[in-house]
Amino acid sequence: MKNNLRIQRAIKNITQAELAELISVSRQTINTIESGKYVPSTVLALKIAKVFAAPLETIFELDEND
Amino acid sequence: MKNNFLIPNKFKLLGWILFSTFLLFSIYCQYFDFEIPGFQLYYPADDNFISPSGYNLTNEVAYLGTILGLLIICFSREKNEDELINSIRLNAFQWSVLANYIVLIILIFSFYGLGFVFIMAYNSLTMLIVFIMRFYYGIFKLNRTDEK
Repeated sequence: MKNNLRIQRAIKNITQAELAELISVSRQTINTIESGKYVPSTVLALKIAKVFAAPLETIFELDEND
Repeated sequence: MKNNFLIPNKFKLLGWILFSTFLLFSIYCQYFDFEIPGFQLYYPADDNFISPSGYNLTNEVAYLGTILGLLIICFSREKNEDELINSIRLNAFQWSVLANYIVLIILIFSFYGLGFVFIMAYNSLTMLIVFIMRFYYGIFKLNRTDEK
């Protein structure tokens, strides 16, 4: 699964740590999601979408391996 | 997502203290044949098969303490327990079950008789110990990639 979390963060101008705090996970979790190493649960993905006030599909996208 | 099997983080320290104390105590009991005098519930009617000392509960308590300590370490939350830590935890459990049975299969073919019984007693701790090592290795790896 691909995501453009880094870009979304840049637009909203918040750091990984700030985003992590908003959705109550650790900063490492945000980091591994951004680098594509970890696929978040639906609940966490929805929480992230809520922070950016954007539909889920604009942040997360299926890639050819899924 | 809530993982209901876990106990609060503050128990982790208690687990380590229990484990290290009782591990040392177990080793001491094992190699110096230490027994708390009179610490037993059952007395054999005749002692021609098992010596009366076989009924002393010192080594049982030492073993119980070690296992309880390890269990508490395994099942207490991390300070920042979230779903990523949870997935590392699950991965470590899968690893430890697999490692435990690989070790067990090797043991079945390499020990027999009373030696096998003794080795099995130690083997019962393998799963918990491998879990702890694999889990903390996972967290260590996570922190290391994070720093890059």
